[in-house]
Amino acid sequence: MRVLKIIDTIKIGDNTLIAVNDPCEDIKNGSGLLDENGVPHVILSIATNSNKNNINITNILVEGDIESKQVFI
Amino acid sequence: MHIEADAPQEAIAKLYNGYNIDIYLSDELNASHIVELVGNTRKSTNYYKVVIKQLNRKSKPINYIEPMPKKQLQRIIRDFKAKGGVILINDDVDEFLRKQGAEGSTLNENTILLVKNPSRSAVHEELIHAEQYRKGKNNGSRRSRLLCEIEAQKILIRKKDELGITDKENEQTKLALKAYEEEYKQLNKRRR
Repeated sequence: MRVLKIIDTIKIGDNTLIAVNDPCEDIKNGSGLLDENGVPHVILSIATNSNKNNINITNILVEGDIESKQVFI
Repeated sequence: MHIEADAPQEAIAKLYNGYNIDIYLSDELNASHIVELVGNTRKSTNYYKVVIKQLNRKSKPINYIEPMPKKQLQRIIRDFKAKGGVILINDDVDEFLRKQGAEGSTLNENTILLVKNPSRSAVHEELIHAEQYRKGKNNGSRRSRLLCEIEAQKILIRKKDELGITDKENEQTKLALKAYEEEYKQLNKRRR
């Protein structure tokens, strides 16, 4: 299990989009992750970014609210 | 009297009209400045003093990319909404994306985030990504995301003229394509 530091979040409807500075090679849509309280969340989707400067930032749309500074995948 | 001109020479030509003119440059001039004829400063017959100055027009930064015209963007937002999707552009989204240095992000086939005043290439890229999700090309894995990015950049380059993408944007797209292709190569090496 790896820990990913959340660099930013934004609410999208009932869900949360989290940004991590990691290419996230080991997850895909439908995978799960744990927040720092051990609460599991479903990964609804992993976004594609028009970020030409840093292609290793990944935006992950997670089901529900996440009040966490890091997640475990 | 104000004369709009695309270059000092053009303004001078417009003003000159057979008179002798002293030209004073009050600031370094770029294209699209405004020329001002200062008062009635005729020194003698057929002789005018002219000051050319840049009026509150800051030069654009080197990395400035022209945004998509608002009407075109509104039409795209309307069309995307008609297909059941949503393009989110607001203060929170703008801050979220700009912190990452991104202009847009596509979450799935129906949800696109864009900065305020996005470039043409950013808007079209996100529309391509939404379509890729719709066609099932993106399952969220790093591999499929990279393949989608590579495909999107290639489409943008190929349709540059059709989409009205500027040369500057196109150069950035080419660089991004290179970066994604290299990353894809590295990913395959790591998986061997």
